[in-house]
Amino acid sequence: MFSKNNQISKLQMKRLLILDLFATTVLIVPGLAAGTSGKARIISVILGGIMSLLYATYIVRISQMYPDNYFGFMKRCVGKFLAWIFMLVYAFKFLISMIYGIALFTEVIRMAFLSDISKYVLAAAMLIIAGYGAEKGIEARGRTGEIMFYVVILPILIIILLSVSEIRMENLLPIFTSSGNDVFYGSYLIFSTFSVLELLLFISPFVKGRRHIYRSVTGAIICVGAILVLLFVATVGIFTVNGVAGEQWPTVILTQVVSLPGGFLSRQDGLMLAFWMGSVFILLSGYLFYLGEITTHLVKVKKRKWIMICWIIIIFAVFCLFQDFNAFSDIYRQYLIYVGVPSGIILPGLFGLIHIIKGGGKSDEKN
Amino acid sequence: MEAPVKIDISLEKNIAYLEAVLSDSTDIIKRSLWVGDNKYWIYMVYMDSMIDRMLVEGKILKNLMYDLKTVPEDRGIEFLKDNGINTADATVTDSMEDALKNMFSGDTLIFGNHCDKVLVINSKGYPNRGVPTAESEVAIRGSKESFSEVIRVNTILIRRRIRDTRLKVKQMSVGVRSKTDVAIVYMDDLVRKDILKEIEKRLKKFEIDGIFDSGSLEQLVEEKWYSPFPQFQSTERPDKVSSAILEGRIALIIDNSPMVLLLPTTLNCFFQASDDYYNRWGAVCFTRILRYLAAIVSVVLPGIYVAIATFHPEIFPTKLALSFVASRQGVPFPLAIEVLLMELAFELLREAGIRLPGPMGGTLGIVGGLIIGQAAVDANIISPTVVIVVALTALSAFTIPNEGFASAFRLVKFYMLLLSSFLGLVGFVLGGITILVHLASLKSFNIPYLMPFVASNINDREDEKDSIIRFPIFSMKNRPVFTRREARRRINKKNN
Repeated sequence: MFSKNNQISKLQMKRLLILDLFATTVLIVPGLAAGTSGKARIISVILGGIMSLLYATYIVRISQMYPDNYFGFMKRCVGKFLAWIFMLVYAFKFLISMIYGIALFTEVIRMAFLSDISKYVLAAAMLIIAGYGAEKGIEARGRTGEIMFYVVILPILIIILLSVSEIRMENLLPIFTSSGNDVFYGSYLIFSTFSVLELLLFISPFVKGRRHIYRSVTGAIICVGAILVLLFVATVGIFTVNGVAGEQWPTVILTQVVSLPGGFLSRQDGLMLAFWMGSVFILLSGYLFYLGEITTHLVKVKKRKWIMICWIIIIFAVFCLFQDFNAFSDIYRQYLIYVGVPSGIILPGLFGLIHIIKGGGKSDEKN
Repeated sequence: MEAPVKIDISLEKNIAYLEAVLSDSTDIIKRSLWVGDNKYWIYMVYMDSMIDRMLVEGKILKNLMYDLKTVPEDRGIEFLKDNGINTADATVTDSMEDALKNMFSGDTLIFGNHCDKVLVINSKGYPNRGVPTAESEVAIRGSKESFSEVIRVNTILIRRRIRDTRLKVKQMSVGVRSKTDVAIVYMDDLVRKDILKEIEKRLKKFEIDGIFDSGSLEQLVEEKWYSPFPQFQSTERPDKVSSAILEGRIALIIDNSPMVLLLPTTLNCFFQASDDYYNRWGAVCFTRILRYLAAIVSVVLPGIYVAIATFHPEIFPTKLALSFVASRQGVPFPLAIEVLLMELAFELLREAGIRLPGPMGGTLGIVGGLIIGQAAVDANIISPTVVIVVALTALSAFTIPNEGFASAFRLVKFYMLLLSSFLGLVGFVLGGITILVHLASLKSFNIPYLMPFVASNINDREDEKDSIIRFPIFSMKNRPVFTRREARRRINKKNN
């Protein structure tokens, strides 16, 4: 039968990737580089997108070096023990990103419309749902992503479209106001928010026709990049550079000021955030899914749901340790800049290099 | 398990066995007869009132008693089959178990002296409702016929619509005591053999006392027992089943059940009504969109109302928010409890309406819905807005053209209501995500339940032509994904 193959289509992978990228960037990117590159941030966004495209090419190339999975690849390159250690490193990276995702989710939700509800309740609820999604496996994830794509992307496009009439071009021009260093630093920061592309190393074995995923991956990056550029134009065009720099979540403010025609809803930011939650769910359940995958390589557990439960408890416990979101956000940003992104480049490259030195490149090409 | 009993060469022994196993069964007629010029001894067994009396007593018995010449003692049963009965529908078997099973279905058994075989004459003629009119799936245009409780009547209703030798009806019995006949109906050249094999495997996978309706069988062979969503489509309409069979799907007809099961099924199938294909496509598209919207409303409306009105009233324009607040003035319950009470009250009315005889059910609806509802609003126990919300939800649920599927929506509605009551819009969204993930993980015979909204590229997006929008019939050139790949072409243009 055609289903039950534990695989997803390229379209499903593309949509999952779009949602993963969207969840991490849509709220963060507009405010991220405001202080570094000002109006030139549009160039930072474009440059960040280009860097992400290059990074994706690199990751896809490495993912095509192994016919099985990343763990098997590492094992062949550096031996079982070191592969085990590196898997722990990846588990740690996913854990940190997952906790940041949960923290971001609870912070935004409490700031926007549920200030009375404890962040622990929100985090626990989201973690349970993400665990449920991860436990259902890659096929269910692919199908969920396929539908969620419309639910998440269409509303934000509508908001951007409705905001066009309020954009003031003088807020956007002139573009070249920042130094090259600032623009480059801004680009690197934006690229760091795309570091979720690292997941491609783990997702590619699940994709049907994985040899030809490059087009889907670039399509996803271009799609998200285009949305970010449009968001930049909308937020800066309406609020000015200083206005955007002064806000923690300019995208949320954008959804608050733009009004839907007909006047049926007076505040649509709540609804828009509700849709954004869909992409956060996809991202978090994705991290949990890959944490589960890593764990099954590290220890022998018969039932996947027990792994999920253990991870949910660990993530929740660590989440509870961080009380101040802004402090945690700064730590996470520093971590991304100095550890997350560099390790995301160096580790796969290292394994790829060892693989080529060992002469595996040619034989695997044929697979 | 008991060893199969073979027919004995001695008629005395066979009679003794039958008298023993069929003792205290006054509804079974057993009689010894001597037929032919040589007075050949036969023993006849049949169920009272389950046979066609005209055939058995008026023709076969008359023939045996008066028109038969010498019956050869060594091959009496074969001789009777060829010369003694005037129906072609008769078989000879040496298995007592098979013979008795057929007898309980309305066949007549004739045992002969010095013969280790039994003649099984198909003489079914039990009382039935004939071909009733469809009641739960009413269509304005198209056939009014509905399936009945008799398996043969039901297969005939399909045969009459598909007069093709490739239409196959495989029969088996399920239930060690009830021995219920189950017919697997499919088009030999369209069905996916893997699915056919799988359903046959599942039907043989369990042993149960008895099956009395397709609903029980459905629960025994479905994959995910805990899902509120049905993984088989049940229908009472022969035209729907015939159309499904022509799309490569399999129909399971269960004796004594007027509901036929269709498999595999997807969420989309439940939104398709028979007359969708008989009416013009523009009107049908509109109705389909309405049905999908209604299905969403039936699940989300109470939940989203509670979420917004309780946690985020600022989402509504001020005038609307004020009007909601004004309508709730004096109501003693929190909004979530108020909605929950009303929803439960409606479910009570619905359940009572089903159990009461027809005319009383309608009266109950008027008394419960109108009089009590109005009195509750006047007494300030509930607000008029909640009445509107609950009524709209109920109305929406009734537009779903499948009762089993609509029931799932009713259950899910409470789940959404519960989450929304605790976490507002966040709870509502998380609830929606859970349902989406659950639906995405569901499969019916390995076909994703959410097709064609997911993975529709498998069949070149052909299935999308009959989903929320129903394309004009001439453009639906290919069959859906249920059909085996090489037989998907449905419409070919003739060059005259």
